[in-house]
Amino acid sequence: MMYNAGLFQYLSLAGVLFILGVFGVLWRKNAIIVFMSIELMLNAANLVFVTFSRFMASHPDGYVAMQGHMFAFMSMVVAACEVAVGLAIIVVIFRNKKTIDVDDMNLLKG
Amino acid sequence: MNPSGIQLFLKQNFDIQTVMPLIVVAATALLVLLLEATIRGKSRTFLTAVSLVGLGVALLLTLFNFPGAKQSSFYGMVRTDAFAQFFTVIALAAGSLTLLLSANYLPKIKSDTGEFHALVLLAVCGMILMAIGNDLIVLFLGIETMSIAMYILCGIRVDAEKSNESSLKYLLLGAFASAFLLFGIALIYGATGTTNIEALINSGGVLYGISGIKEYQWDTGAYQFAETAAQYFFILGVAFVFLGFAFKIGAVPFHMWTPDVYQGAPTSVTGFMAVGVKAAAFAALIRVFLGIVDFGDLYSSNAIAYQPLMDLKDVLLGVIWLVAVLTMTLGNLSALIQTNLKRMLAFSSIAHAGYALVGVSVALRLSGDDRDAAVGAVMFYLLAYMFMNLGAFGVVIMMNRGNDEGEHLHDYNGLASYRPLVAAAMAVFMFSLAGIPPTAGFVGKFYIFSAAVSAGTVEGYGLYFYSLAIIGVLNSIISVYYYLYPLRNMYFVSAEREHKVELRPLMSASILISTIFVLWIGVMPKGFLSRALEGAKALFFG
Repeated sequence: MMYNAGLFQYLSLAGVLFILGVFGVLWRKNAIIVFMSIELMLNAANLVFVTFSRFMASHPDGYVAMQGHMFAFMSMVVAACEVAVGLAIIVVIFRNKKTIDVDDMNLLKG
Repeated sequence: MNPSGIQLFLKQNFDIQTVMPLIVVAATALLVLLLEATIRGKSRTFLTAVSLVGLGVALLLTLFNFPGAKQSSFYGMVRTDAFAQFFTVIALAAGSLTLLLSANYLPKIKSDTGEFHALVLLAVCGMILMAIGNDLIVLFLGIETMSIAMYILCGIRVDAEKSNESSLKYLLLGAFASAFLLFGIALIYGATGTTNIEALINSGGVLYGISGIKEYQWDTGAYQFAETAAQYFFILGVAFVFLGFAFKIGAVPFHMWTPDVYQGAPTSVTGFMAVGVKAAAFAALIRVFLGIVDFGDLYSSNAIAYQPLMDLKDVLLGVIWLVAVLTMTLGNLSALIQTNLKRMLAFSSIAHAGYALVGVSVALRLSGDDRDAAVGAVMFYLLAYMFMNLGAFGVVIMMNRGNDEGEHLHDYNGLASYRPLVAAAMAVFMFSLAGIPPTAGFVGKFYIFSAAVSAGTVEGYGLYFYSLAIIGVLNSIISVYYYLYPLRNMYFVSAEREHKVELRPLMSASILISTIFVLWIGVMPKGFLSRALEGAKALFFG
């Protein structure tokens, strides 16, 4: 018999991805890798949305919850915009400072 | 479907009129970008004029042609009630004042680009979306539209390392918080089966999410397990969403970015961030977050077969008490030791978020008229805060001469002797921020703390709300010291050298408007308050 992955498996995967992203943001020093970790977190959330939406389609009232699928598309668009802006900012920083290490961002203090 | 049926369908679900202000602002932003490409090399004052006309038309539409109370459209995605109207006005006014302040400031910092105007307009679009959004999808899109525009605005001084740094910090931390918000929304969706706040309230407190899945209906054990899991998802989701909001309003312990980002960003952007982003975040916090918590409360009172895991409202009240107290106290104490006025105002904006959170906690606990009064107090406070804070940042901009000069407290020495009017305006803003009558800040604080005191009369919550009100008042007293410090410098310290303070017309107009409104709201708050109460009453579907 083939084994089908269920709700629990998908959610666990999403949880693991999200936690990996959190640790990436907190521990890594390179701005681009921090940014990639944030994308990982957003994609974990997308996976949760699609999982819930997929499994809720079998609701007893015949109620189809499509918002999850829609939300995943919306957040993909948002993530794409964020990447475009984020990489532009990182490029500008690299031009001025010749580094993108987040620990070197220490001009503003007080 | 016959033609008239289609018309009716469109009218019911896609009533364009409800989002007209939003469309006008977005169209103006695109127009400004097009014009920028064609008038390259010339003055940007023209673009300021076009943007202001767009914002003005949107403001008129909002004030005089807003659809009737409690109107949902676009399948319940947006809700254009008096509450949305109030916050739309705040967003539009904040955008207009920011553009007025920036007109003469941008050339000085060598960032006189057309994109600036377009980005401010797009950020205003995001804020309006947050004000009218009645669905978590719209809320998320609004937050991101606003935030992405703000990330760029912070870094608009491409050649200034401080501006770059501010932009990167805001981007990384903002996106981090957004990811938590999105994950929280996903969990709430999984537990409740919907992203719509109205559907959530109307569900009568039943978790239609994963516990409604057909496979689980077969045996009781699996259903119980799913129901419990759904509760965990819901609670975790509420926690994550609150974390996202706490970041946006700059509440402790998610406030660390605020001073750095505020100091590094161009001053007019800082002012815009402090008032616009905060007001929009509070609008969403009140409408969406309180809506979700209401659902949690309904669930607790509705659970027939299964024990609710916790009284969500009580736990949240504890959390918000702690957050509000820490936010007020840390913000004020940190502001005491600042020598840079911009950084000081950043810490003060943290403290002001704390005062507003006091009002939110009251709204969380009470119901009916008391709740409306508390929500109205927060709305009124945010309106007053917009004028006084943008005014204060306006004076800082006026003192600026291209670099960081004009931001330090000693730059204000003796200002009253050579620029008495500017000093007087600054005095009004500082008195208002400190909460001294007869200014808007005093009235705002009065309403918030009196709401907290009246909530203290509720059985069992006396200690909770009285302590909150007392700590708030004590904090206001602390804050008087650092708000009056610049006044001491302006009036009682003689200037070593006179700064060249140019009174440019647009900038002066912005400061004048702010001064008039701060005094007007302070002396005659009744009209503004009744508008805020109207907005609060339109809320909560009751």
